[in-house]
Amino acid sequence: MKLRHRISLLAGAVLLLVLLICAGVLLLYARRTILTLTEDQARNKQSALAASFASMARYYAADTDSDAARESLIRYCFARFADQEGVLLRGDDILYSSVSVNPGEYAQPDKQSVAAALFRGPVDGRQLLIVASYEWVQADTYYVGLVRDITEVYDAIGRLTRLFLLVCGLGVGLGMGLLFFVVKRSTAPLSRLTAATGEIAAGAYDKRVAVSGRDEVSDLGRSFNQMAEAVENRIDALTAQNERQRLFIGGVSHEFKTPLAAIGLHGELLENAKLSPAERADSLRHIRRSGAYMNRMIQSLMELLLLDQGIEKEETEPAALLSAVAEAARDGLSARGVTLITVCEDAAPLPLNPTLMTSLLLNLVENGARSYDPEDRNKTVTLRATDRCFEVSDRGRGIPAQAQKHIFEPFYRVDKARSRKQGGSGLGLALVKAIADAHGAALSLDSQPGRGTTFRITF
Amino acid sequence: MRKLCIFILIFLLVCVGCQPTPEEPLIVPKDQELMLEKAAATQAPAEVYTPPAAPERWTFDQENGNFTYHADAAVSVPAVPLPTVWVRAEGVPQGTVYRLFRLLSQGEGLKLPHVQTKAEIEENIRAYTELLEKGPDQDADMSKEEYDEGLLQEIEYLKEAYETAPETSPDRVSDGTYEVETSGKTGTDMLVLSASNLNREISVHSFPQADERSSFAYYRHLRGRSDYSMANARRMDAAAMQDDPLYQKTMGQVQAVLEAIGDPFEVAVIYLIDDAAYGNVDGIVHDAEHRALCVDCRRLVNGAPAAYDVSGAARKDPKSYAIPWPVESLRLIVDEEGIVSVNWKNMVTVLETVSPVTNLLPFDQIAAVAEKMLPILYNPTGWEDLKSLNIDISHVGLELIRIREQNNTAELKGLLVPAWVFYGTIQMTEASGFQDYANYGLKSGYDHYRGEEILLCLNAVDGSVIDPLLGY
Repeated sequence: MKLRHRISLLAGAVLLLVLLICAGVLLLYARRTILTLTEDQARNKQSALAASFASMARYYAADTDSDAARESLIRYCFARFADQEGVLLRGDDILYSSVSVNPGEYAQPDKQSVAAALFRGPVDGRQLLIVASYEWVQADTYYVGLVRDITEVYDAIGRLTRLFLLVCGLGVGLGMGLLFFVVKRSTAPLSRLTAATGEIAAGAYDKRVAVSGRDEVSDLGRSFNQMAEAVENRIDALTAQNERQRLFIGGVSHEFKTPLAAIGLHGELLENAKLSPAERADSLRHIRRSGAYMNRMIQSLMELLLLDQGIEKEETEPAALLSAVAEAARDGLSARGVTLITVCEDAAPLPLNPTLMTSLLLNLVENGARSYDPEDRNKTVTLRATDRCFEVSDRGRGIPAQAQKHIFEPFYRVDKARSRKQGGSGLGLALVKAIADAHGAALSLDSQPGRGTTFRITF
Repeated sequence: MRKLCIFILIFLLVCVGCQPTPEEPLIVPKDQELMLEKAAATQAPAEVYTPPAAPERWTFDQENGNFTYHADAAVSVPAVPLPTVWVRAEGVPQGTVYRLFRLLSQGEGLKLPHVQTKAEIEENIRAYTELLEKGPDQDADMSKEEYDEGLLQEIEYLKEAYETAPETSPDRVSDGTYEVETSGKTGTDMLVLSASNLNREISVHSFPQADERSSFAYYRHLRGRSDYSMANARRMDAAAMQDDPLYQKTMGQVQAVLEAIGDPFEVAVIYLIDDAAYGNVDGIVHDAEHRALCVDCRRLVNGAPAAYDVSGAARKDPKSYAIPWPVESLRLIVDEEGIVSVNWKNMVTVLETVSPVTNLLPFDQIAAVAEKMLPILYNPTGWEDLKSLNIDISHVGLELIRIREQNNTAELKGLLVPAWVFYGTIQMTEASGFQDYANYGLKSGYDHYRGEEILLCLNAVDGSVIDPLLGY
């Protein structure tokens, strides 16, 4: 059974129980009060009737010798005070009666006492209330009764009961209907939540539920959205990490394949072949270069991976950064015949990771150096720091427009052959982008084939 | 859920269906039924009926302070057995009305009441409206609000009547046919005949549903002089008047009326009356110019006389919702010129017979009851404003008196049962010295002398006191 049905049913049962208890108590109280009042009225009336009759009869019967006169007197005295409810018996003789029942069969007072007897109950399909007592006039005992038809009282109680039940029934019906509606509306978010959970489980990690209000269900919805957000981010991060790891493994296995092959080849040559000292030196050089290549690639990949764990920043002077880059790139640029020009224009200190930024700028500078062919003249790379912005420019071969879309992807090379020959791993610009992203900086490039390239990092 | 609902439904049905087994009814007769049973236990067949023994006269004297109770009464016992019969106050049948009408109208045209035309109603409305604008007189004993309310009610009534009023209202001469109207009190039909000319007027009201009092048939022939009154009435002995022309003429007229009525009636008592203004009540004695005979008649049932009560009084029992039901009376006044008036009130229709011969208590027991009850019924307690009260019983008769059907408050239906009826007069003197004859007939009311009326009535079957004004 659904939760809303259980809640509605339970609430309806509680409501019905409460209503029935209240109605029952009220009805019982009303019934008892009404019947008690009715009995009291009847008692009072019978008592007055008996007293008046007896008083008058005793007064006038004192000197009555004739039986006929006494009986006529007794009837007259009773008729003076009685109405259609009055009954006067003497033994089995009915002296005055307008009713069709013998009250003596139902209410039999104690002849030794003046206390009245009371009967209330069904007689011949009617509800009768009979109050009776004995009165003594001279030597005779008279049964003075009052017979009241209280069927209408019971009918009124019955109507009241039915009205109560009807009101209870309507109240319960309406209440349950309302409860069901309210509960259904209240639990609808749970259904939506359930559906959203299913969708997320099926892979729609961007699924969220609409939240409104400030109740517990709304809190649950917000918490669910937060959880879904966290899950999505985690999934994205894991996916990205997984992708990077895949790339790393793929890149490593792919990029290491060549230098490892070269190392293996030259190692085998050194081991097995009779090589001249020049050839031996060449092979060792190949092995060293391959090892250095692999080392650089591993470092780059590690940096990429570590960037996911967050970076530490510190206030860094751009000028100092430029100096560090120039120092790190000197040998390499010199070997290529490339001149590094550094320009620092009113650049204020920035919160950044100096090591990573050095690596970033170094990668861009080396990329710029590699964009020249050996035979090119005036090979320069300009490193400029302005307000919250770093630029690295060259006048090398440039990057084709098609390649610009992928240039920051790991292991992407515009010209694979040339890049490997020049020692590029294809991870440099991916690392640059990752560092820029880790700093929250925007990375852009402006390049035209044959006219050079400018990389711009803006904070 | 469904099982639960079914269970609850069954539970409720069981609770509602369970009722205590009704007890066997213990039916006992009411006291009226007992009385009827007692009355119906015949001693002998009708053909060998022996009237109850009774003295020729009954005397009684007792005093209670200034209240005196005197009886030197002739006792009359019918030679025929007294039945017990059911009766109902259904008024006067149309056939009876036709016969009375032909007899009493004497061929003169009697016109039906004028029906106001629209023009007449408009004139009346205009007149009332003027009165409304004018306001009450300065010495009027009502407030302006009461004055306005009364006039507005009249105007409203006239406006309602205007809706159905005819354009013209030619004179209509009655032939004695009833017109059916609706009683404003009960909403049932009532039959009305009202016709008159300059000299005569006839008015008959009947309630066939027996749900309203005061059926009556009334006739009057205006003499153009002082009316007759009972102020100086003297009860006459019919035997002594046999040779009186007035008596002979009167009896002829009475017989004609009784024949027109059709039901058996007999003359009960005759008074000689005159047109002198109310005796010496106001200290002035006027001479009588004309005399008449006032004849009270009573119904016969199987030859047995029924009691009569010319007062037409009835009392409403505060303990009951019963419609008041006066005792029947038929009074004719006849003078030298003919019938002066016929006043027939509270007539009954005899239905089935319960018992043709009724068992009756002996008169000595009845006398003992009467001697006991008279001082009780007319005792000084509650009459402190009277200086003295004198009860004088002049006549006791074994007659049939009307009692109501027990527990029937909506219908004028009852029994004529044998009763000893004590007729007489009440004379009282107020503390101021004012004297008057009054019919207090068991304390019904106060009026001027109307003749002998019922002062005590005892059920001849069981001796119980019957209040003829209440009917039980």
